[in-house]
Amino acid sequence: MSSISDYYWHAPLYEPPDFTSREFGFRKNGEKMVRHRAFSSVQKLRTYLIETAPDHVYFSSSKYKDPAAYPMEDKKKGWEGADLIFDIDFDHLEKPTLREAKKQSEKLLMILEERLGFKDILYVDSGSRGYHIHVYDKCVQKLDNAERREIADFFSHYKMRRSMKVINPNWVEIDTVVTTDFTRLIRLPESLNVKKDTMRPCTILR
Amino acid sequence: MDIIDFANIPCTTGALEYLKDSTVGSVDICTDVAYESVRSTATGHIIEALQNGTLKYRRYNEPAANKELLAYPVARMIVSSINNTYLTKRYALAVAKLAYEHIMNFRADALGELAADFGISATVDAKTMSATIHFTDYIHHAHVLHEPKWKLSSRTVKEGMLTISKGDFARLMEEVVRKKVEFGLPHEVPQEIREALKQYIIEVQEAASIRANKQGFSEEGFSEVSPGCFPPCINSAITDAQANVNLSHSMRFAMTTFLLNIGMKPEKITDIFRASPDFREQDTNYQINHIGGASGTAYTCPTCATRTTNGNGPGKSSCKKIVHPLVYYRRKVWLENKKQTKKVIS
Repeated sequence: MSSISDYYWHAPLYEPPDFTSREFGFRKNGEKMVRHRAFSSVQKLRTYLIETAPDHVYFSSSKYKDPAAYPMEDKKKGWEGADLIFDIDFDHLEKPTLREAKKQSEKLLMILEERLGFKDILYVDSGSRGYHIHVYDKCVQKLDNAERREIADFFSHYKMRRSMKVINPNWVEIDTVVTTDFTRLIRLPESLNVKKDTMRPCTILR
Repeated sequence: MDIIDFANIPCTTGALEYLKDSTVGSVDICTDVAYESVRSTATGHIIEALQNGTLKYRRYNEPAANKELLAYPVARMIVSSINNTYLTKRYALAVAKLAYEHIMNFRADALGELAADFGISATVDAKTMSATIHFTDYIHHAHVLHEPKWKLSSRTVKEGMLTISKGDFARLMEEVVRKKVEFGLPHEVPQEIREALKQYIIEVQEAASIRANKQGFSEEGFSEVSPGCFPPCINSAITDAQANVNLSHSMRFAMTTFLLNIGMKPEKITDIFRASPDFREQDTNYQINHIGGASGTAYTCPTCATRTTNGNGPGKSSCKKIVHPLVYYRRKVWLENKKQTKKVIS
């Protein structure tokens, strides 16, 4: 058994809310992503992971009536809502260090809770270059792209005040596309992030 | 809310229930001679909306308000029968603007009641008349408003709630009304009602055609590509691409969709990318054809707001009121054509 299979044999697997409505995707380094998979239970996902030993495991922030439907247009017809996702990658930061990414993700977390009032949040170390935050609150589930863009812009570098461009105190260097595009897949918490020389789990921090 | 409120904001649940409970059937309103003035009022409102973009705010007594409210479903049937996007949008906008004027006269309890009718939980301060709402309700309606003050980042949000002035809240409610009026239009209109409304439909169609001629708009696409009319962001992307500068993925996507949307041939677009440092003809052709709809989905150029979020909005002063690169191009082409026509006439 490979060390990846061995990991999934023992590891605690994260079960996102509405598990059966999620699309899953898998990738082995250098190979094309396998997408549009759905599982009826976490146990079945575990079996799949042990058997195929993927380097990367992703799931959809969106929930669909038929998560395995393909092409995407068919899947979108049964769209049932999506979590709000934030991604901070250290190599996209002005000061590109993991420490800075941690600092910014903690600031983001504070704003999401204190300012935007979110209660149901998952904070995750991506196992490689940064941090992911999943917001599961009911109020975000039906937001469309444009509304999610407004939230992404809430964290932009600058804002307008009395026709003047000023620094936004809420500025956090998030990857805006991840927040606005809810058809994307996000790394499954507790899954492995396998690189050429390293293998680290995507750890839930809180 | 009472009948006067319903007449001014006819898309509320209360107004719809009032209409449902009314003894007048939809066929009667459209056919019976007794309701001729209701049909004329409906026609008048649509034409007024077309010409002025708004409806004059009048203070009604109860019978007049009743007639106004009855005219609303008739107007919807006329607008549906004509099935013209511009007319529908213009009518919805005018009804919404009228609602705004009425809402500005509301007291705190009525404001709260109206918001609840629209599915928004709002706490209205009786003294300051400011309204406190959840930020997701706010962005749901404010994201289409383009002044910087409507950005969520311009508001103070605490524990998910934000407070806005009465004027801003009324403006948000105006937006809800516009969407509600537009929603479901055009709807199916039975042939017998269409026949009964024929003279009114013709009257509105004539007004719409005069308006369209005045505006100089047409529903046709762009007949030829006019590079002189490209928005500044696209011009700068083309210049960069040709000057060997590597464009970001989102900028390439925006430029390609724009050029395809205005009818440029894929080969010409490939030529623009030819100077890019990472140019590979086969890949570029594949990507352009994919964006153009080869795999079933033809993409539209992203809006200016999306592109600003992605860090591609140049924010030139000439773009101030523009929300979409294609709108910029369409207007510029129209202006250029107008200039040319003037030259020919003189």
